[in-house]
Amino acid sequence: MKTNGKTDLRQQTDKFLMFTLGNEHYGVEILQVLEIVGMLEITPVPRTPHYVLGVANLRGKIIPVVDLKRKFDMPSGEVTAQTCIVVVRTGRFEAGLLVDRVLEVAAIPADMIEDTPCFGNDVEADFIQGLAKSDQAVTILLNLDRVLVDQDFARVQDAQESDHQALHTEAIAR
Amino acid sequence: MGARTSYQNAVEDLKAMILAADPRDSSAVARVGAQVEEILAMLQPEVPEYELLSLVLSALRSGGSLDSADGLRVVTGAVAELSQQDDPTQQGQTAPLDAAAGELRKLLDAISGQSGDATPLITTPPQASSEAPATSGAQFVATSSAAVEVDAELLAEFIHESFDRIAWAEAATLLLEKDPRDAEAINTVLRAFHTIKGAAGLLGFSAIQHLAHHAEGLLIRGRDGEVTMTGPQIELALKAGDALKSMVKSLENRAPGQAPEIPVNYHALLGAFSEPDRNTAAVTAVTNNAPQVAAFEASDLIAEIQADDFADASPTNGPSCNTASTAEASVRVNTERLDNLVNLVGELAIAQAMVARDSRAAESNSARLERSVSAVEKIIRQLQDLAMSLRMVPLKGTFQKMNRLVRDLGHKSDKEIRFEIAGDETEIDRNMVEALCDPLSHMIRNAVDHGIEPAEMRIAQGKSPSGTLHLRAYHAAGHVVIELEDDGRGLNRQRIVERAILRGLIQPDHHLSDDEAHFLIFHPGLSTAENVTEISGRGVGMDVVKRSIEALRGRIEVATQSGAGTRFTLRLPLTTAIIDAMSIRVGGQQYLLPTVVIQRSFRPEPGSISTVAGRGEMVRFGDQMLPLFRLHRLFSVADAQQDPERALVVVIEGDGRRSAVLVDELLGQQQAVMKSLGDSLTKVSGVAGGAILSDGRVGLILDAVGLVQLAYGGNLNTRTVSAPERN
Repeated sequence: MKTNGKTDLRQQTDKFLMFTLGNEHYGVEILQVLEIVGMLEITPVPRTPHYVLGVANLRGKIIPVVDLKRKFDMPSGEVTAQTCIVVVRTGRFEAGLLVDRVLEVAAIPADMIEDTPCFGNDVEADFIQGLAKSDQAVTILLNLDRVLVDQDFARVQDAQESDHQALHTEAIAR
Repeated sequence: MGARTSYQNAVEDLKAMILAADPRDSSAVARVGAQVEEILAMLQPEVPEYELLSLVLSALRSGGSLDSADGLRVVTGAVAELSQQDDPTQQGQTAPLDAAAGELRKLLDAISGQSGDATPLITTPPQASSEAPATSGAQFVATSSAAVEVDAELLAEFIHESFDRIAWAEAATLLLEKDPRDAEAINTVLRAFHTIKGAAGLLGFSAIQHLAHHAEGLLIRGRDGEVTMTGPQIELALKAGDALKSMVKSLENRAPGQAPEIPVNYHALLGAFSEPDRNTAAVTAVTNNAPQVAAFEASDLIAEIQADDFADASPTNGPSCNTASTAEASVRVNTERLDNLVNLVGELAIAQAMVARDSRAAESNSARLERSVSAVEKIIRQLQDLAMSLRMVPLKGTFQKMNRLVRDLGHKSDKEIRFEIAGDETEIDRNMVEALCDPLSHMIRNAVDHGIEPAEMRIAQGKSPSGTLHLRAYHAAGHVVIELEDDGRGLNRQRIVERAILRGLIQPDHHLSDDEAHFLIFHPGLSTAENVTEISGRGVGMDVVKRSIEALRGRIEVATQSGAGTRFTLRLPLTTAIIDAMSIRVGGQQYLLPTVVIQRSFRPEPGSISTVAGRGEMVRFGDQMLPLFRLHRLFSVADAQQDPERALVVVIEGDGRRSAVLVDELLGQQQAVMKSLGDSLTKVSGVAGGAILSDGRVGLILDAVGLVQLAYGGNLNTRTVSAPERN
């Protein structure tokens, strides 16, 4: 019942939470955002993809924290006073997104959103829902379901595992 | 013949109504049904008329009885026969109506055969539960054709409550079997059936209502001394409970408003109820179906909190079934809310610790502040205990199921078994109660089947002909201990060892201590029973039991004496939510390793570590060589101790295999509340979950089985000391 209500609302809404990663502006649909918290202490989890920073304690509940800059292969910056964790819910699971700065909640009418242009093979673009242009900047609207695919963590982990095993064997051989 | 009685008038009316009713008009059919109910209310359930009318009612409700020429003929024929009879409310004895009843049953079978669960044409609207006399079935009110909309929540409540009541009824029936004059037990069973009947009527589950009504009728006769509750009657009551349980269970997976699945023996049961005294043939027919035991699981999401613990009653008192007081004394709470409560109290404790440790608080030197802080701490600790205790339920329900199982198995294998239960008030985590049911059933099956000898053999050995099975539970050293002890033949060491050699599990020249030999029964694929029997099946068994106990982070032990019996001991943590863990350090990282998997830890001596084929490392542990892996390499921790002679080797066991883990340091034991890392991180190998540490950070809890698998490099089939491929 809840999900029904959510879908209905989602179709009506055009509000996005805007934040920055480096110099770029990003947005996620506000209905997927549960809350915004300051930086938390993060415990690294072994054998997970490099962009999974680890897990953190959100009022007694454990959530994974993802570094979007690592995910997008951007140079990672320092943690500042403005660094935030945006807690989102997509599909079945919750995650915290590490962002540099939270800007505002803005309404972006559907007709202002442009389709993703083709960036060629270098840029993975399937997690971009669209682009919103304003006077100052271009905001990249994220499709969170694609950014945080359910099996994503496990799949990359398998790939890493074989890497890791190879490394390990190498290390032992040395 | 004088003036007609009110009963006879009602039957005449019924006849007229059936003939006048348009079978496509459901409200007309419903009115017919209401009339039948009204007549039923005038009758005692033991008269043949009652049975016949009940069948008429079933036919009406199953739909399609009046719209076929055949159906109409049978129904009107039955009613016509009724109107020929004397008034059963006036006459002591009336003629049996077997022929008409038989026709109706055939009709019912035909209807259910062609349409599966046909939508009943008549449904009962919600109304206040009737506290009317037990025999009254007069809640039947005609409604429009729209099916009653059953609220999903109401349905869930009904299902849950019915399971409880059936369990109580079953427990009390077993007491009744021991003492047929136990009035308290009779009343308990009776009330259970009565309540189920009322609730089922309320929700329009006529099949459930109907069977419960009959079962109740039997108990009323038992209470009034008209029948003695022995043998066949007990069997019948138990079977009725089983059938009700299976119908209620079938509702779990159905959309609200759908009718329950009718068990195959349903009609046979109803038939048996009509004449429980004479109809023993029917009873045996009904009861020849395989015993269905331990088949119900309560809805996972609902935890039951018993403020006034109904298990307080000792086993001889029978469960209390006073509806009013139980309803007031306990509430059902969604487990998610319960978990939230536990989480928040945990956070509260951390926040309190932060306040207490705040340097300004320490500097202030205020005695008053100190007192307040410690008072808060005390309250929080109590809160934490309380929050955890909300998850606990007594083992009584599980033990009760075993009681029934032993009874049925005993009958089946023709062994007389005394089943002694002790400590069933012992509390354990709700989640574990359900997970314990299967392994316990399995062990009991084994004990009855293989442990306890047939009576002749027992007599020949000078034992009492009836076997005894003890099931005990108690708390010891922060654990729940469950013991199952039989006085049977004991384990046969020689046969176990022979079998193990035959299967290649051990070498023929391998010397085993008795304990080691007996422990072989937990090895997969070892079965020593000479006959594969219906009860305990073939060679799968104790290994599965061992694995399920280990999954609960428990241990299983066996002690046996040839000819005198066997005792299995399960040692379980109080809850799966809290684990005892050893905090270990690897470089800058801290992990929690469940203490139950730790065998030993030691600082490796120089030369005790060797590499195999230049790759995998092995460490000597006693006379064994164990694969050794360095946790820092596995988990890519940079700043860890590289020199094994300055580090620690921890020997862990998981999945029946050992391996050695190299860590920097053991920091000490602690208790941790185990939590999931979230749905996206459920399959991290080597990590079972997380816990909030006292400083508020998350600590990872290691998973021994996963670690051992990693240590063996995913090569799960070897137990040998040959080089693991990758590690």
